[in-house]
Amino acid sequence: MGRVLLKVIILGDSGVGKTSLMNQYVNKRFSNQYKATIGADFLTKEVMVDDRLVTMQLWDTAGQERFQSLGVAFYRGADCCVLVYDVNSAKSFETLDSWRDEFLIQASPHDPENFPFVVLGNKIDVEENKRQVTQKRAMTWCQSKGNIPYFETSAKEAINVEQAFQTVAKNALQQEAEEQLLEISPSLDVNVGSNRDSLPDSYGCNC
Amino acid sequence: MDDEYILSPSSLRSCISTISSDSMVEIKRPNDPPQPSTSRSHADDRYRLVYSKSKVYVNPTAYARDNIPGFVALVKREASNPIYLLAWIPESLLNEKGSSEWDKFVKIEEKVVWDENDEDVVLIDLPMQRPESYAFSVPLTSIYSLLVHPPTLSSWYGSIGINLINGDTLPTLHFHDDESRSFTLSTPPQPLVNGASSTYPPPPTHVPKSGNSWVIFADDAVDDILAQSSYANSFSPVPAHRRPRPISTSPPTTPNPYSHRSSVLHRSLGSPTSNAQSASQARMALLQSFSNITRATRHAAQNILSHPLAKPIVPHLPDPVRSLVNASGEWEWGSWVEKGGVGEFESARVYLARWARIVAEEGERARRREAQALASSSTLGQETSSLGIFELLHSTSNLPTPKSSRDPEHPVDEKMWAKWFAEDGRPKVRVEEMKREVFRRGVSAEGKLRQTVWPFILGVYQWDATRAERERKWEAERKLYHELKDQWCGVPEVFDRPDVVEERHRIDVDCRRTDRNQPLFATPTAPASPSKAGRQDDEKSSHQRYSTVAPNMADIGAQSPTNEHIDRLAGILLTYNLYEKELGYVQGMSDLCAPIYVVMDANEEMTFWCFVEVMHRMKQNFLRDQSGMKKQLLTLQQLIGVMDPELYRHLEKTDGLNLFFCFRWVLIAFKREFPFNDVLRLWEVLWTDYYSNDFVLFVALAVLESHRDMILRYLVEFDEILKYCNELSMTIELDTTLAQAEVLFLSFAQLVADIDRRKAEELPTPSTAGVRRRATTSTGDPSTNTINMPTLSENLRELLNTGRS
Repeated sequence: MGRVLLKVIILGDSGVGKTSLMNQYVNKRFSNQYKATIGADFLTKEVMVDDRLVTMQLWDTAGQERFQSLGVAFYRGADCCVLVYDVNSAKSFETLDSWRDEFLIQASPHDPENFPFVVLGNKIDVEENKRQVTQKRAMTWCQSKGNIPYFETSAKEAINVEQAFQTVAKNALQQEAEEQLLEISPSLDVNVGSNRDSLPDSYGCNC
Repeated sequence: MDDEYILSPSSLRSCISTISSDSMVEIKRPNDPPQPSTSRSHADDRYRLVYSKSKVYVNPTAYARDNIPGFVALVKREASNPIYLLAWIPESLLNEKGSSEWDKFVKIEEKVVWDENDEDVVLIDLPMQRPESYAFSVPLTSIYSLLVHPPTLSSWYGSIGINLINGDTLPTLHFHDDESRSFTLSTPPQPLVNGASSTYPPPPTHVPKSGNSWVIFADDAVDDILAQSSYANSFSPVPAHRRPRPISTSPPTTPNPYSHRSSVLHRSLGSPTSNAQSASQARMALLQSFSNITRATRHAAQNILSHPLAKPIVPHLPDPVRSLVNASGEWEWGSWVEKGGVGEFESARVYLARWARIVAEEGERARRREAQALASSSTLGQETSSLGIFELLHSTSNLPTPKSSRDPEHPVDEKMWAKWFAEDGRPKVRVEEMKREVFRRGVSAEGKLRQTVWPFILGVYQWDATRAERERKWEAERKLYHELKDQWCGVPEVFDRPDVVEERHRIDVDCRRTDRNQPLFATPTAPASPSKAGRQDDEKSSHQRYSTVAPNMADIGAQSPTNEHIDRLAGILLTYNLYEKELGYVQGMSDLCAPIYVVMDANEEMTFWCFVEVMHRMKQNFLRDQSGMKKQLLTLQQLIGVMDPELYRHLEKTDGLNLFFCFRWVLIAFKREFPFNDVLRLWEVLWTDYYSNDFVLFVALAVLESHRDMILRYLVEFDEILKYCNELSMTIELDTTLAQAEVLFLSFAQLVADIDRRKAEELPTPSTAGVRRRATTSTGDPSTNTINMPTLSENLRELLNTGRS
């Protein structure tokens, strides 16, 4: 399989740590000096997924709804969407629904029902008594939305960040592969030969 | 098996044309029975080491400390039906086998001349597939594709990804050529026979045989061949996933569903004429790719350093980089790259674009120094400027080149400012003159002059008034501010209203992360967090409970600590929110307000009213439906269309016409693009509205223009341009940019006047003058009788407006 570019969109209320998570994952750095993201930016990271080298392009956008109308251009072609909230802010959790809906409307993926999301509950390094959203509550929500994978992370302490994005990469790759299968299947040809079966092999049935 | 025979040494030769360790050595083993060709590993086989290269790493994790050094090797299983295997053996595994085994690999790597009759043949144990050590050996015929990532300046080590026919991917091999012996050895010897082939892959019959030496590619010939093949793309810093699809010399007989893969082998396997040939081509490609990884390490650096523009800076480079022979590469280049602020983005194109820009700037500076030295002797009657494109524009339209009037070296200082006012504070000069001088010179950062000047530029203070009149009016404004503030401050019904809580949240989150490196905002206040204070009962803390914008933890979540000034900044923004009810707080406002707060030295009322005036200019950027931003970006797009059609077309091709990469620039007037003090200097220039109310768009155009060559040359995707522009932050030289912006404005104004004049005269445009403008994409509705001239949209005409109501 050739090198793949996976496009990942990170969404969530402003101040929940989208930029921090991305920087922790890509640059292994944390700073509490990140400014509010204006416009959009992205970072890329090469990552091995199932022994396959893929390039993840992580898009960080402004957290204020007002700017979302500009997001369309960035959302298009996304392979996975990461929804981030702050476990210490109930409100940032409650808006996940609308972030998810908004994304599905704007990105309009082929198969919205099965489009891969990953939810990250960030800032778990903060004292326990400040926590507003329980793990159970978050997981219940994720289950109700079609078993969205859920991770509790700390961008500051680098907790679970690597694992979370590994899952993001994996699901994004699967999404990308499915999209590609859709695209190329009409031209599949028996003449191609039996040794070219790498695609179905690796993607067909890992269930 | 002529085919096989030719391939082993010749392909080896090609593989190491730069490394020249093409010796083949063999040690006989007692037992040598023929083996079935399908089996992979047979203890009794003779495995002849034909090629070895040290310091090829496997990186199991993202951490450098986990990288495993090893040897990549080509091994020939000598049998009636020989098989070539590609192997990677970790150094640790070789160590286990003792120093003699290690020496074999080193010996092969160091061999310079290949001699078939060499008695000194090396046989090795075939490394076993050991997943835990990452060691592998696979027949070349099982390789489906190679993904070659040659070294680039952002990623010093080239790497090869190997995919097998069965779908497996082998660990990516990273070529640390700076550590490898074969790279640090002297230049390769000239090949005995230069049998360069001009097609790729070269048909085996082209391989000449001369004595005992087999040569397929001379060192340079490989370049020629590659230049003609699609594989040449791997020399370009284009990331593999972006490379153009391989172009087959003959169309494939069957539609290939995998054609999106950018793979070296894929191409040769695409239209196999015979199995043997395709297999041989496969091997060729593999070996070439090895060679090129090493070669490209040198070439990438050499190409750049030999560019004429690079000359001025070469003497300043660290020795290892200059010589490149000992390139202790990673460290030196690494720090260099670090300096350039590269890090996360691996697209070498973006990096190269930036790099080229740095080189060009250095070159330009050196050229200017030279020009100065030679100034009087110069017979060229023309003054050179760095405004390339604008000169072009004007030479084609026969208009005189406007000049910048800026003089930032001599800012308006206290003395000059004082001279403009009479005893009673009434001005002795017209407001236009004051604005012109501020536009040209800026305001001195000395003392607190900005505190005095800004309210005048912004219109907080009336110009035509006496000091006493101004003070009276200001007293009223001060009061008004506190009346506005008292609408929420200490008023629980308002303060805790859900919509206000939401606004407080938005404001607070942003203020906590705005200009925290400014002394006023830097230190956090340790004691009594607002939420705790709210639980206390005495009147004072109750007032504080309803005056400190920061909401409870439950609403805001965990954020950076605040301080007194951050709270006050938030208070100003919340007050503005009640003053300008339509807008609401929008991200970016804190960026606009904080510098004013700093300049006004924490004067809340003055900060507020200055901010009101700034927002009067910039409100449109923050409208709920984003219509203002859309309009501004559209105007900028049209401006580019008129001023630089080539750039316009390039942006069109790259889906970049939405100009989202200028979004941040326009939204907050370049706040994030310049260091704090430059932002102050830029803003006071913009606020004068001297030439245009939308001068910021000319600044944006100036930035784009000074990077246009890099954009046109290197950046072919929207995301690359976005990344490039985002990373311009803190690298833009303010005064040059402002000078260019001024020249651009004047050129634009001339052009408009010229168009209008010609329209009025109804004359056809002379051909010399029309070339550039005829190519202009129409910026409004094209009317048939003005085909030769761009139609100027209303948006563009509005750019000529100055002054505010």
